[in-house]
Amino acid sequence: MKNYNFAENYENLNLWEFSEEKTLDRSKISFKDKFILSLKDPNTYNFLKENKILYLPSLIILGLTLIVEISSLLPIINIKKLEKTHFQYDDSVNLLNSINKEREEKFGILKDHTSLLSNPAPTYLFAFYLLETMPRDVQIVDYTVDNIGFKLNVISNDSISAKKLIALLIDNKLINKESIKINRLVSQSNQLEQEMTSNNNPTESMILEISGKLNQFSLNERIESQKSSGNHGFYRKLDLYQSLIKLLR
Amino acid sequence: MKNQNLTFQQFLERLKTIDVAELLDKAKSIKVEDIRSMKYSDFQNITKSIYFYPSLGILAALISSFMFLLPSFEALKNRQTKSAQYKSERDELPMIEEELSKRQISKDIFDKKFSEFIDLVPKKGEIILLPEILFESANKSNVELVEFSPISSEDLSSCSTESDEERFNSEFNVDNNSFEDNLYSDDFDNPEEIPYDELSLDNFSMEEDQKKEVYFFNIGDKDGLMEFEKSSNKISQIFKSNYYLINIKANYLNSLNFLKYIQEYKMAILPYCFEPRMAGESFNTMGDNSNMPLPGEVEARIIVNIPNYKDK
Repeated sequence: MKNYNFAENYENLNLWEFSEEKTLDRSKISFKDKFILSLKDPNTYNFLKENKILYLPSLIILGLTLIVEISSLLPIINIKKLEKTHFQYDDSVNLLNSINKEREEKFGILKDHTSLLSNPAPTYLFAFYLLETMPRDVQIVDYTVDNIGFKLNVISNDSISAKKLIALLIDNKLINKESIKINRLVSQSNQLEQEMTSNNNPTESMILEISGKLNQFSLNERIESQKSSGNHGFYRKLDLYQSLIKLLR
Repeated sequence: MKNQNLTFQQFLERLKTIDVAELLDKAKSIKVEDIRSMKYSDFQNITKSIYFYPSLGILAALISSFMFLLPSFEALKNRQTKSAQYKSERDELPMIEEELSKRQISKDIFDKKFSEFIDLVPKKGEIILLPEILFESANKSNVELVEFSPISSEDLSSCSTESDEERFNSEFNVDNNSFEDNLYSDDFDNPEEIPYDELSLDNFSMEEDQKKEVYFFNIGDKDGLMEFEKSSNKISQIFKSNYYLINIKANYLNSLNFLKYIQEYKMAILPYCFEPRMAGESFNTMGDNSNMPLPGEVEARIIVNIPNYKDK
């Protein structure tokens, strides 16, 4: 009964409706309420309707942004899907790089050791080839061989054998034929005159000093020649070096 | 309010009618006093201008472009790049893994052989084993070991095929070359000298998103082989040379066997020179045919270099 309005019983009375807005003290309401009220305000609606230029460009920009974000969904899905592969790739590349860097470092060390195999004098090989080269009527008195060249003193029974020796030295693949020099050639026929006359067998022995330079063989040639000459120890060392170089290719 | 109901077309038409030069003149004629005398109501009047709301709208559009659209474009570009990168990584991965497994297998073989090769250079204390090697080789080859003694590098000239003049010239050239080598070799010939840390730093400082590049290292066809085609007495500067004189007495073939057997040990024994000569006076009887073709007894001088590491 308390809320019953008796005025509604009288048709000729205009009812006064209570409006909360009109009684509100705007200074006391919160900013949020103010904002909601301003949105409900028909003036705001009219203002926005009349001044579309105020917000339309921004809305267009936001719309474009939305389109861009939607179009980036496909790359995002791809990235998520391939993330595991990416980490696998990174790990593999890192490992491969560290192996390659280690190979590079070891190649540097290997190069420092090359001189151990490239610079020794080919003493065995020279002696071996000389043995094959020497004619029967020629005797070696002495010789010196280092890694640059050789110096050879021989006694030949006759000039034919001496010529043969020189020809064979020229054909020797270890000797640089351009560099062969006869430093000394002494005929000993006068010294042996007495002996010759008594034997009735005239021989003209000759003392020769021959020198020359050595050819520098490539690694392959060295390996082949050491192997064929039976110098297996040095052959194995050269072969080990070659296999290391091949593994770095 | 009536003026504010302009269409965009009309607004553009109006913009065209603005005389910029005149506005500039006006702007120049503004004085400080004019600015001081401005009131709040003057600012309120600005809102009544027909250009106020369009300018505000354009300004808001510009701000939202910078705040949302441009970063969004940037992000799209990055995502597309990243997606393409991941796709290419997926395509390359089988190849990389194949290469990796190949390299790992070859690395295992290489490491084993490499340590075997490096061990050829004796450590300082291991040089003491040399007499043992020589005695064993002498026994095997039936050679009499007459003398074994260390010699200095000054004594090497006594066993050389070069004349003093040639030696002087070659040493002068070699020194020049080594000087040039030192000048230029640092970056190219000796990868050990490459600032290794810097290389790694470059890789690891890469952004996380950037595609990792494979660091390839393959030596050329001639790398590591050119040294064999040059003649030089010098060995690498990382080694210290130790020269020894070995005098032996044997027949010629056995002396060759001795040279052969000393190489069969896992030690770098570098022959410096070999100087055999007929023993005694047998070569003076050259007229005697019975001695000529047979190799007689020889006394041989051998100088060897047994290098060891300078810093080990």
